[in-house]
Amino acid sequence: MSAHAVIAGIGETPFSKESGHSDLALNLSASLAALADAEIEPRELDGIIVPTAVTATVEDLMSNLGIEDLSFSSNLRVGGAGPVSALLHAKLAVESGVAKRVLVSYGFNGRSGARLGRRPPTIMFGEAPSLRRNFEGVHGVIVPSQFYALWAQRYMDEHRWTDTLPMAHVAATQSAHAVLNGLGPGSREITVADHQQSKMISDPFRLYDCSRETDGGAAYVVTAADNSGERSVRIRGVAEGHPGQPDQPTTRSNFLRSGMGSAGQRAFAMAGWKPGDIDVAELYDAFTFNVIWQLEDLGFCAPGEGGHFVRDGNIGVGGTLPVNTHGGLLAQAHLWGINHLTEAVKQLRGDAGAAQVNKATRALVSGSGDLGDAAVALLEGPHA
Amino acid sequence: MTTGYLKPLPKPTDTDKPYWDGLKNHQLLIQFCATCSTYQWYPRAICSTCTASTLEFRPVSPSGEVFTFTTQHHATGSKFDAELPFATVVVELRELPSIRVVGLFVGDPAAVRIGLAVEGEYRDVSEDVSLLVFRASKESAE
Repeated sequence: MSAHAVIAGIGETPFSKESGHSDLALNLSASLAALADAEIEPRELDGIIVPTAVTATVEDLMSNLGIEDLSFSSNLRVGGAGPVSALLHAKLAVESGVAKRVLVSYGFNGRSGARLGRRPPTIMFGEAPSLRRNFEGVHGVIVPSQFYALWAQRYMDEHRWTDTLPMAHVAATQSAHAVLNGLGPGSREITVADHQQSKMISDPFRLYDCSRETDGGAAYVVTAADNSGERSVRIRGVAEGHPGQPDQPTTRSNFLRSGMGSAGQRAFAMAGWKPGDIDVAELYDAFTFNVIWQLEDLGFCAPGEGGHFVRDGNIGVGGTLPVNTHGGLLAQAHLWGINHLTEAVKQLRGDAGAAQVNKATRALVSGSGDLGDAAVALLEGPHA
Repeated sequence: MTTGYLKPLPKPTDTDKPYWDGLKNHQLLIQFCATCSTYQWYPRAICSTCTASTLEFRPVSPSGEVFTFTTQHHATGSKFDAELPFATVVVELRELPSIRVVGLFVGDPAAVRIGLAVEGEYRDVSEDVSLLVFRASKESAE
């Protein structure tokens, strides 16, 4: 009998601007919620993946959850691709028989603890000396809004954009979703005009092009289908993709090629699905531009058509492809994208509240890191 | 000794040290593989085309065109905040169009656009370190 891995449970902490809890406490709160949702005792876990370079360690989680042994553990370092990439790793572990119940846990005080611009900029460079320090940082390119602005400027030039209204539509649409969702701290609806009048940060990005650094945690549990409950979500496809010359994006021969396109193709091939089969998409949105970029890379629209696609209203709840129904990193919470996975599971279970997409049975979730590492998951609901 | 330069400085590695030494001598040096005659950038430990270790550094003119850029308006918590707004440009070299290098733009950031012809200059920021910066070339200004 071959095992099929499923997402058996999800958990989230409250999302806030100042949690008042440690990163570890956020991890534990999210993990316990996910375990309760999956109806699994902590001691039944035999695999743990820490999906990012920040947050708690596997050892922290073992010690606090009273776990005596694990047959599988890993710590991913692919930036914001981590939470989706972890689903691939967990699936491989479960389907190979290496582990039966794998926890993926994230918890981080992304706003009160370590806001960009309020910590020494050297942190952004990782272990010094690094390529980013030597070949970008010394020239003033220090924060992610600048990394992504370099891509956005080039994209806008190649596609002859004369304004940033498509990005404004992404910001406005997702802000409305965040209000429907209600879980983001202080979410409020903004208009296209609000976006256009907001402060310039890293040209072409204004304030509302940038995601919301947030305190919070989220977790999920992957098990074999035959060990799971009726609310489990099936993993039909999950894949990674990576760009060439990953550690220094400005030198890439194909500047606008991240790993997203190949990750999407692999995931769709695994599932036997095509983009038109997707009911709801949760796309990694560190910046508004990333949504437009990915809509093209993932095949939801033709290259160069992403701007029209979002301006034509397709990405709203009720549109042809609702995107980031919880508000995303832009308007709900920047949790390195693990909240995209938990939101997709809620949508497929019919638990997404006021932002519920009618008859959502197939979801796409993407994750991507600042160096272009990417992962895509294709999920199917329990009632499909 | 104080240099007065408080912005981030490079931490040269064994691999990229010749590049930094070149800048100090006001030369832009790009890594070149003597086995397969390929230029590569940034400096790497081996040739990423043919895996040979026969790497050397060759001088290249620091002129080219702006391939992409960003103008920073918001504080990042670094010492660059004193110069806001400032533009950083990614420049495709005229002599080696496959190579792009990064530098601060000297001059009005509002003048920067993709395709702008720029000339590199060397700015001695400390006794040990010179950095490549770019300004609009004269042909662009006309």
